[in-house]
Amino acid sequence: MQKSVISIGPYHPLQEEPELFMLTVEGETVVDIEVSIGYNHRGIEKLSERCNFDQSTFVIERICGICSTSHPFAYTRAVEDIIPVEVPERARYIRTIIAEGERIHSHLLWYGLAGHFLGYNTVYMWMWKLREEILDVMEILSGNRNNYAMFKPGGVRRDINSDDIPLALKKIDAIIPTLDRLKKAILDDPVLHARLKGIGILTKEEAVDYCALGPTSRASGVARDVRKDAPYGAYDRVDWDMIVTESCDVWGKAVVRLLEMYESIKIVKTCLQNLPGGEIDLNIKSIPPGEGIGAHEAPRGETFHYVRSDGTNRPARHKVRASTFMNLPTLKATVPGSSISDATIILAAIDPCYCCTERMAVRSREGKKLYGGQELIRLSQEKTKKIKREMGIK
Amino acid sequence: MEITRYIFAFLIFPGFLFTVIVGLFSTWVDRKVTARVQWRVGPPLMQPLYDFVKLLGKETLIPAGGSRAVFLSAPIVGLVAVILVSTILWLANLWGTAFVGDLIVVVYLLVIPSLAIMIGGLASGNPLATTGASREMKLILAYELPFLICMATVILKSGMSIKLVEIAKTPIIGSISGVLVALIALLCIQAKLGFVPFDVAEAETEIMSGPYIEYSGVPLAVFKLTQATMLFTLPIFLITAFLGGLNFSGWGILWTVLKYLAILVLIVVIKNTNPRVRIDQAVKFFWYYLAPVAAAAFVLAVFGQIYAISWL
Amino acid sequence: MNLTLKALLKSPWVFHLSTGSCNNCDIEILDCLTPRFDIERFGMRLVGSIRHADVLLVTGSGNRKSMLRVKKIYEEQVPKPCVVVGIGECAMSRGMFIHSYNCPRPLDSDIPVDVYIPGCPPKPEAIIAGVVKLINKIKGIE
Ligand code: SF4
Repeated sequence: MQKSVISIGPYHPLQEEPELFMLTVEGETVVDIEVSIGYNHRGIEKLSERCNFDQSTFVIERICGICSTSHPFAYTRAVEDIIPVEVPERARYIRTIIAEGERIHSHLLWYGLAGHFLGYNTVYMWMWKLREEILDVMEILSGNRNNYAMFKPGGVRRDINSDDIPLALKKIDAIIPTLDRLKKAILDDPVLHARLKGIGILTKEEAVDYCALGPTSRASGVARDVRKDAPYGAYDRVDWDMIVTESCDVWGKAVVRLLEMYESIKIVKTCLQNLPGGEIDLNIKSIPPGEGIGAHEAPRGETFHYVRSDGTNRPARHKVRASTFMNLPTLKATVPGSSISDATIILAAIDPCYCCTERMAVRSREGKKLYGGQELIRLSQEKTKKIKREMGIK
Repeated sequence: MEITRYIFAFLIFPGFLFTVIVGLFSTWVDRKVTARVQWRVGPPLMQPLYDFVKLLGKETLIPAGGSRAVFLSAPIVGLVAVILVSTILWLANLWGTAFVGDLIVVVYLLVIPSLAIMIGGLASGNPLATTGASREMKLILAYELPFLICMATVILKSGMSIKLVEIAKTPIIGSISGVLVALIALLCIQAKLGFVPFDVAEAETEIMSGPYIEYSGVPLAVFKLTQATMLFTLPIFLITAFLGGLNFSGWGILWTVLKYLAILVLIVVIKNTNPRVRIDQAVKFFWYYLAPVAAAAFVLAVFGQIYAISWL
Repeated sequence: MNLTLKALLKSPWVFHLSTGSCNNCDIEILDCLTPRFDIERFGMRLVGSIRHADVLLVTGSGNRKSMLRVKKIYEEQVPKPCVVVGIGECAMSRGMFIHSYNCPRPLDSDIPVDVYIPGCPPKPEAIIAGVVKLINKIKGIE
């Protein structure tokens, strides 16, 4: 049969971010997929190396709007790992609350978008309506809807006002019945079953081979979660379960996300109720030379940051590895063989986030890599100068 | 004088103008009900009209690789077909003006809008539009089979009549087979309208509105108008064929309007409580589930006719 | 003001383009569609094809690779008349990314922008208010 190439993107209603999927199709069946990114690359690592350790947190927060807590969490842990220090107990709890609140809103967001991709706009609207309630809770606790700006190396930037806690708890309790209703509506919908079950199979072996992370791996029966494996924050101080399913398909990923929301609600509630007193910040004055790593289980999987300090007030090297970077290659295993309609929902099922993932590599036409890191930096500086000269900017 | 009457019928009432106005109103009902189901407020009453006028004023871009004449004429063909259907239906219902076999003509004409979408999509030369067009074709093949069986049942039950006037007089729905075929026809109409769960051809998040992807300005406006008029005409067709037609004497008006709104709302609610199915699932659904059920209903109807059992 | 423009203001169909954003702005745009804000009340709709758009919502800091596409989209693919709204700090001034090697030029050096909505990210309320300002601007009301 004749092969043709269908491009999804770079501007496509499927996802908010620009990215390009080239699907090679035979009729309706996808035989190959190629992902082309770079439409979102902003050079965050380089920018972070321009800023001092404290300012960096704000830049890191803007890696991704949905994971605006996960990246600072991993980054601050990396910086604390250099010294090394342990943050105060209260700060641990506050960090956990914010991180879990973000997980709830991120999963709700995914649900809404997945519904939208399936043409089920009612689910989209209902889920996002619920998400607004969570954002309200976050606004009560942190003062912000999306970019919470709560994190700083050594603790948290702002305290949670104890007067706000009852209101936040009340709001969270009010969410649960609606969530229950939606859970029932989703789990019992026969057409959803028909659409999601048995497609996009990622076997356990493949999940291990591709180093899949987060819900993508947990839906394939790989019980991997940084929060359990190497507890940090307040995750070892509260009682919660890791959700693992064995079904390996898109449906499994959906179920994992749905049940994880309940766990997150549980964590947030326990943390709010048992919030210990004390300091919230260590007031770190200087960072000694050294290296540190930090990891956090973001809604999409483990986010990993590496920071090297040379004793000045800026990171000498900052490296970010977001979860989508590891999950994206699994599409090679899941998408080929499915139809175009399934491909779109399989693509969406890993909850891809390109803002986090963007890399850049310069290649020659034949596909060989030409430049190393040092040359790239030199080249980019020259180019920026040239462009600025052309535009007449000093 | 005959001729002016027909022209009037086609252009003003119950043809173009009337159909368009009620069609736009139906679109508003659709959007409003959708919004209410989704806990939203929804657009104002005049919104479909604004959309239409706005599209008329926009630039019309013609894809470089496409065939210009076909690309531009496809929407008009679709619209004219729907208007014709509407005119025939209303004339039959209002004044009993009908010709033998108008049911068959209507059934044929109802395929044309889908064909127009397909042709327009193919003419635009966009790969996504081509995918959409091929899906539309598969969908037509899928739903036409049960739809035709339903029509056959209708003809049988109304005493082998293929005149809409006579069919409209028999409320087919008053029997088991009648209920079955009415429900199946409703689902077929869902597919004809291109509504979820059968909006595979224009799946926005998969193939970016499919055949419509390259359309802008006036041709897009005409397509939107076609959709709007379909939303009006198809429920009327359902009422004529299954629910005992339209009645305009005394309380009958209210009853007719209620019937129409009920069907419209039912269609919209189905649209909003289902995700989109895959094209292969759609084909399977129509051929392996609906077609046998329709055939069974047909057999029931045959027995009913032979043994004169009216509830079969 | 002619009829077309009047109708355009009553039914602006938006298409949204991201040029290297942190995707928070994009999510707040989607948020405007949802029950709490529901911009369909004003006739706004998010459309799937660029050909159907009247308003381009541009977010992000002008990434090199995507700016080429955005320029092309604006010049060749959007049917005119069409207005451009820059959403977020990034689209205004490139915000935090002003020193980035991959965001060399501000958005408005490539395409004309009619309205800016500041905020990082702007709240949905702010986006709606911004669009209302845009409508008033076109109507000629200050
Ligand atoms: S303005 Fe702020 S929220 Fe919006 S894209 Fe830029 S960094 Fe993200």
